[in-house]
Amino acid sequence: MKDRKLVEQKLMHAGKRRRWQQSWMGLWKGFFWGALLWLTTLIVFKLFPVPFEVLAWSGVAWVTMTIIGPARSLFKPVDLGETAQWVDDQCELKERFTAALEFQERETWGNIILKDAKHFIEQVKPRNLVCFKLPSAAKWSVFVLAVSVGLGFAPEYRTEAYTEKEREEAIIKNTGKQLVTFIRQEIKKRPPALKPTESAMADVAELGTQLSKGKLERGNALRELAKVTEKLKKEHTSLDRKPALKRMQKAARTPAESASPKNLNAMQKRMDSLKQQMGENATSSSDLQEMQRKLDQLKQTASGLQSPEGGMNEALKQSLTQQLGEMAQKAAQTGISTEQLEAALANLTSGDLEKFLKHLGDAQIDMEKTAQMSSELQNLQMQMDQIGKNLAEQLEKGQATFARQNLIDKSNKLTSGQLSEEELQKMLKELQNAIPEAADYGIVQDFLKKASKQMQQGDEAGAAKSLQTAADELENLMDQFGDMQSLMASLENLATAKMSVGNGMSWGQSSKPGFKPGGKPGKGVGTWGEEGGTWQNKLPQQAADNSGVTRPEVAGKGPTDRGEGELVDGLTSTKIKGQFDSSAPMPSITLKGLSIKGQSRVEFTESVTAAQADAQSALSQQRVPRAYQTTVRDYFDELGP
Amino acid sequence: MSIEEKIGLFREDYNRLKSEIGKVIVGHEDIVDGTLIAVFAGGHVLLEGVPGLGKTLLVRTLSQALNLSFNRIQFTPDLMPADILGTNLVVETQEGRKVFEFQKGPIFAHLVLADEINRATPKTQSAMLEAMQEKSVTAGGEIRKLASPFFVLATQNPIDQEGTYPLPEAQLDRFFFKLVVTYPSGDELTEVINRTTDGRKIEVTEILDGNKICEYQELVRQVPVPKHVRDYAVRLILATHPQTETAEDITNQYLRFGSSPRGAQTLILAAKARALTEGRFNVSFDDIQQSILPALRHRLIPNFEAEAEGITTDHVLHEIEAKVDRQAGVSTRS
Repeated sequence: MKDRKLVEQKLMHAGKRRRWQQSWMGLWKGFFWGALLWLTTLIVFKLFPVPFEVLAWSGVAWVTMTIIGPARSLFKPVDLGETAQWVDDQCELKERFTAALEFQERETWGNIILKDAKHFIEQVKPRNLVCFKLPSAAKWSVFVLAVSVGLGFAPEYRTEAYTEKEREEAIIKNTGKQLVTFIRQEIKKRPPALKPTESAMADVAELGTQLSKGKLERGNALRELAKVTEKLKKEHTSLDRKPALKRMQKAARTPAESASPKNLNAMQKRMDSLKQQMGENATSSSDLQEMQRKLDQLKQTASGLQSPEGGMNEALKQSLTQQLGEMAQKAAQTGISTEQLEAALANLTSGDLEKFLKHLGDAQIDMEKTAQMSSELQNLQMQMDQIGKNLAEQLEKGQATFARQNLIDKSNKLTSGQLSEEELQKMLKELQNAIPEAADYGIVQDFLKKASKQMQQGDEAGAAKSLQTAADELENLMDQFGDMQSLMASLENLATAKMSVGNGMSWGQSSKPGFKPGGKPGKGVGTWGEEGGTWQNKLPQQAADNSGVTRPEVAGKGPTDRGEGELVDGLTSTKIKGQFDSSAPMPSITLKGLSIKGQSRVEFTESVTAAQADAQSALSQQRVPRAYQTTVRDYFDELGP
Repeated sequence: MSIEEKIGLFREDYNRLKSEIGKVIVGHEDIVDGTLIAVFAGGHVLLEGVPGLGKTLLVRTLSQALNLSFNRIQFTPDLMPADILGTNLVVETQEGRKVFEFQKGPIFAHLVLADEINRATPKTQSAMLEAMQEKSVTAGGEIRKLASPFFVLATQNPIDQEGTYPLPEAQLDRFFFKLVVTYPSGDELTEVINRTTDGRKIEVTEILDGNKICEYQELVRQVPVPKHVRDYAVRLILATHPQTETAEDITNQYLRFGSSPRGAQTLILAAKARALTEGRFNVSFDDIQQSILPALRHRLIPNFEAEAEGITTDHVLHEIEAKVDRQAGVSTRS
C-alpha cells in the first residue's frame, strides 16, 4: 500500500510538471501554427484581392491558437497511466511504472512489480525530466515572423481594374454614410412637418444605408439616386409653387435672416451698448478706416525719426507733431478715445521715442476696436432696418416669424381687453393694410379679413381668436418652409452623392467641385471661369447693403409659370443627316467642368438612364430655357441603345 | 518458495547455463540467448547458418548442460518418417509368440537435434509436425506422448540448395525461433582456434533437469505483460498482414503472407522469458523488439518482387518495427 502511494505520488508530481511543460510546448506550437496561418494569409493577401477582413480574422485565429495551444494541456487532468508510460519512456524504466499501476491489484505479482518500481523512484526527477527550453517551434516562429515582417513592406499586387472597383465601393460606402449622417442631422434640426417630406427623407436615409452597406453597385446606385432625387424634386416643386413659401425664401436671403422675435431685444440692447461705447458722434466705418490708414502712415514715418547722429530729426518731429495733433483733434470730434494719441503726442514732444511708438501702437489697437464696433453696429442696424415695422411689411417681406409673433401679440392684447379705442383703431388699420399683402398666404388672409370685420363689429374676442388662427396657419406655412429647406438641402446632398458615385470622386471633392481659392485648376478642358482662381480671393469682408438698389430696367428672370415655350420659326429643330468626313477635323466643343480621365466603365444604359433623369430634373426645375425644352426632351427621350 | 525467489533462482540458473554453454561456444551470445529463451518458453528452434559455425555443437552442448535425453537425427533425402518416429516391429516373446511391438524413433527424447532438416523430403519433414505441436506421436493407430520437456533444435544450411527441400510453411510456423548464425568476429575466431586446437577437453556441467525446466516454463508464462506492450505486439503482427488496413507500405509491397497468431504468441512468450532473464518482473517494449526478428522472420512469406530485389524478411521486419509506434495514442515526447 505504501509502495503504491509512493509510486502514485511520484507519478502525480511528474504528471503535473509535465502538464506545465506540455502547456509551454503547446504555447509555442499554437504560436507557430498561428504565425504560419498568418503568413499564408498574408501571402495570399499580397498576391490576390482578398478582403482585409480575412487578414484580420487570420490575426484573430493566430491569437486564438496561441491561447488554445497551452490551454489544452493546462486544463487537462493528469492521467497516471499516461504519465507512467511517459516516465517509463523518458527514464528507460522498461515499463516498470506502467506495469506497477496496471497490475497493482494482482496479489503476488502486483506487490513484486510495485516493489520493483519503488526501487526506481529515485531515478525519476521531474525537474530534470521536464526542462523548459525553447522548442524548435519557437525558432521556426521567429523565422515565420521575420518573413511576415519582410513581407509587410512588400506592396500588394492588385490589378488596376480591382483597385478602381475597390475605390468605387469605398466611395459608394462613404457617400452612403454621408447621406445618412446628413439626413439624421437634418431631421434633428428640422423635423419634417409633412408626411410626404417625411417619406422622402426616409427614402434618402434608406438609400444612404444601402449605399453605406455596399449593397448597391455603381450603376444601381446611380439609378436609385436618380429615383430618390426625382421624388424629392417633385415634393420640392409642389412646395416651391406656394407663393407664401417663395416670399419666405426671399426673406431667408436677406441680412435679417438670422433675426427672430426672440433675439430682437438682445439685438437692440447690443446696439444700444455699442452706441454708448462709441458715443453719440459715432463715426462711420469708412472714416475710421481712413483714420486707421493715416495712423499706419504716421507709424511708418515715425520709424525714420531717429537721426544717424543719435538725436531726433527735428523737421520730421515737427511734421509728426502737427499731424498727430490734427488726428487727435479729429478723433475727439468723432468721439473716439484720444487718450493714447495725446500720450503719444506728449512723448513725442518730450523726445521719448520708445514711449511715443508704444502709445502710437496702443492708439492703433484702440482705433481697430472702434472700427470693429462700428462695423458691428452697422450690421445690426442693417438687420433691424430689414425687419418689417408692421404686419403688412412683415408679410410683404416674407418675415413669417415676425408676422406670427405680431399676430399673437395682437391676439393677446385683444383678449386682455385693455386696449383703448385709439389703439383698437390703430390695430384695425394695421390689419386692414396687411390684408392685401396676405393674399399669398392662403387662409391667413381670410382670417385677417374676418378679424378685421369682427373688430369693426366690436367682437374683440372673436377677432383675437381669428388672429390666433391666422398665426397658427403662419406657423404651418413656416413648417412647410422648413420642409422645403430640408428638401433643398437633401437635393443638394443627393446631387453631391450622384457626382461622387458617378465620377468616382470623394464626397469632399464632389461637394466643392472645382478648385479652391488660390489653388490651381486640374488638367483637362478649360473652364469658362477665370482659371487663376483670383476672382475668388477677394471675398467681401463685410456684408454690403445693396437692398436699396432698384433696377427697374431689368425684369425678373426667375422661373415662371408661363406654360411650355415654343420655338420661334427660325429655331425649329432639325436632324442633320450625313456622314463624318474622316479627313476633316472632328467637331469639338470646350465645356466648362471637371476633367474626367480614364476609360469609362459605366454601362451605356446606365449613363443614358442617369442622363435622362438629370434632363428630366433640369426640365422640371425649369433650368432649361423654355424655347429649348421640347428639343431637349425629345433628344433625351430618343436616347437609347 | 516465493515468486521472487523463484525468479532469482531462474536468473541464477540461466546465467549458469549460459556460462556453461559459453565454455564451448565462443561468441554468438544472441544465438545462445535465443536458444535458451526458446527452451524456457517451451519452443523449438531452427538454426540457420553456413556449415561450420557451431550450430550442432551448440545443441550438443546444450544437451550436455541440461540433464535431458538427447537424440540426433541427421536428415537425409532417403530418411523416412518411421526413421524419426519409430515403427511397429514383429518381435518374438519369451514364450515364442510373435507380436508387434512399437520401436520408438529418435524423436522420443527431451532434446532432439534435427540436423540439416532441409535435406529430408517434405514427407519426412512433415513427420515432425505432430511431434512439435502436440508433443505426441501417432503410430499404428496409437498416440504416444513425448517426453516433457520436448525440444526440437533443427539446423539448416542456406547455401546447399542442391538436394534440399525447403521447409513447408506449416513446419516453419511450428518453430518458436529461427536463429541465423553468422560468422564469428576476429577475436571470437581466435578464441575458437585456441579452444579447439590445444587438446584441452572441456567438461560441461549439468545445470538443470527436465522438471526444473518445466517449472521455469510455468514461471515464464506468469510474467505480466502491460496492456500497451501487448497492444504493440498485436500491432506489429497486424502490420505484417498484407493488403489489410493495418498493413505498412512495405508489407503490401514485399509480402505475400504475414505472421500467423503463433507469431504473436511467440513474441509475447519470448518477451516474457527475456524479461525474466534480465531480472525484471514485467515485459517491456524492448523485450518485444528483441524478439521480433527470431520470432517472425520465418513466418513471413515474401512475394516474387521481394525475392527478385533480394529483400529479406529481416529487412521488412526492420521497416515495420521502425514504422509501428510503440506508444500509439500516447504522447511521450518532451
